[in-house]
Amino acid sequence: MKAKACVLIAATLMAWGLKRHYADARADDLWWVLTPTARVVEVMTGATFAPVAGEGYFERDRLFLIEKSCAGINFMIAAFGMLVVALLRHAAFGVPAAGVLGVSLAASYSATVLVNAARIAVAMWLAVHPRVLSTFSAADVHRVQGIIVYFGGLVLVYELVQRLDRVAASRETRL
Amino acid sequence: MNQTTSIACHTLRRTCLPLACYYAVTLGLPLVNGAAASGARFVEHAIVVLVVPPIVVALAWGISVGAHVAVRAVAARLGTTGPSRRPM
Repeated sequence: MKAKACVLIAATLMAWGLKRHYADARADDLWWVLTPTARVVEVMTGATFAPVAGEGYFERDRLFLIEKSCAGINFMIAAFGMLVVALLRHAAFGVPAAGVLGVSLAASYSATVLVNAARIAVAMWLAVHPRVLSTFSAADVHRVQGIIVYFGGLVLVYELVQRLDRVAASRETRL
Repeated sequence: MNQTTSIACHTLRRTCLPLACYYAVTLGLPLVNGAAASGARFVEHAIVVLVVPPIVVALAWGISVGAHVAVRAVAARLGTTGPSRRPM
C-alpha cells in the first residue's frame, strides 16, 4: 500500500514537473518531442519539415508549422497518469516501483509522438481538403479532430497495455 | 444480462480510465490554473471537451453491437451457434 502511494506521489510530481517545463519552455526547448514528431509526420505524409529557430518545424509547401502548442505535452501527461494507474498493481518498493514509473514514462512518450503525429497528419489532410467538413469553421474542425484523436489514442494505449499485461500474467502463471 | 448490455458494460470499463485522465488534463488542470476566470471561452471549450468523447464512445459501442449482431446473423444462417472463443 505504501509503495503504491509513493508511486502515485512520484508520478504526480513528475507530471507537475513536465507541465512546468512545458509552461516555461520555448519551442527550441521541446526538441525532444517536436523533432521525432516532425520526423514521423514526414514519414506519414511525405512532407518535409525544416527546423526554424524559436518557432518549431515548418513545411513550406503547405505553410504548416509544428509549434510549441502542437507538442502534445498534455496528452503525454494524461497518458502517463493513466498508465501509472493501470500498472499500479505491479508497484512494490524498489525496482518494481521504478519500473512502473519508467515503463509509464517511456510508453507515454512513444504514444505521444505517434498519436500526435497522426493528429498533425490528419490536420494537414483536412487543411488540404477543407470541403470535407465545410459546414464547420476550420478552428472547430481542428479542435474536434484533436479531441477525437487524443481521446482515441488514450483508449488505444490503455487497451494495448491491458492486453500486454494479460499476456504477461498468463505467462507468469504458466511458469 | 443480454449481449447489448454486456457490450455496453465492457465498453464503459475500457473507456472509464482514459476518459477520467482526459478530463483531468483538459478540464481539471485548466480549472486549477484559474481558466474558469476566462468565462464564456472556457465554458465553450469545456462543453466541447465534455461532449465529444462520450459521442466517440457511443459510436464505438454502436459499431461493436452492430458487428456482434451481424456476426450472429451470419452464424445463424450458416447454422453455427455464433461467435465462439478459443478456450484460454
